[in-house]
Amino acid sequence: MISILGFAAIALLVLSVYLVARRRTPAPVEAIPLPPPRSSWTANIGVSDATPQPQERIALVERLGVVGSAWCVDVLERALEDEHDARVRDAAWRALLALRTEPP
Amino acid sequence: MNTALELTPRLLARCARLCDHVSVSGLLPHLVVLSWLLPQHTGSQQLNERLAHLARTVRERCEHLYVRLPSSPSAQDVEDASSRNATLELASMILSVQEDDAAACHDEAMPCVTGEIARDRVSALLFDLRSAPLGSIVPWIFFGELLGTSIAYRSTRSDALAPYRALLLERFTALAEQSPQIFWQSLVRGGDAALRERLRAFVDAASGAKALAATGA
Repeated sequence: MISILGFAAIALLVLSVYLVARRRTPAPVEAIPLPPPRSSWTANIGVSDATPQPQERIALVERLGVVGSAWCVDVLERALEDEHDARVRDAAWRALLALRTEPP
Repeated sequence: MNTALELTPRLLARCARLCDHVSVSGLLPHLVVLSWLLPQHTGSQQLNERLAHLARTVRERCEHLYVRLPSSPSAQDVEDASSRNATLELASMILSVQEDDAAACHDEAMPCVTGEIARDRVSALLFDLRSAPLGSIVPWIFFGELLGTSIAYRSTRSDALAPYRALLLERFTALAEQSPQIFWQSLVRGGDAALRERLRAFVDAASGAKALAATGA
């Protein structure tokens, strides 16, 4: 009789520990998509849309490379630092390289 | 009044690059080229300083506009009150200044863009410059009048810029008959094959002069 009571007490203890532990385990949170990272360099040239698409940013980079004035070089260098999209960074790198090999 | 501009290899390289991009973005690249090719030298030092100031202002505005390439440019994208005032001051000075020297490029190793500003044309534009609203095409007609016509290098001379200048002025004059909105839209819409071709002819001719300059021939 004592052993049965002891077994029941242990079972109750295990059950209560399990229930407490289960209550403390956080429920899985549904994944929330994060906004795409911003590339702040476009704000420096007064682009009204704060987050233009990568293709638009590549076109911006190309036009900066075409104009090639000192302020364009500054913006391209900023793009190289701030830009999160590798394709845009690559375009900025190529534009800067072309401008640095430009005749004086 | 004679004018001159040193055509540095960098300036020429930029014109050539822009020429390759002209077809994609309306009249705006031509405004950039025009701002780059505004004369540096006249027969008056005072006028040269005023020209340099205006050229810098116009160049900066055009370059930024070209890079941003807004879908619908507006008056303030094209001009502000201070640049209109600077344009008016320059136009008035062209009509009144005494020339001390002949306009000439300082670096003989560079091809030189030369031209002549017709004072009667400037005089005729002065009234329109005073009365036209900001963002109008009138200042661009004035800048077009300042553009040179020839490339001179040592004993050689070519009038390769004259056809481009003439067609540019023709386009501007036609746009002056339209509303300013049409001018702003023309900056970013459509291409002008004939204008592009004449710009290319100038770049090619200047590249030939540059090649001569590089070889010292």
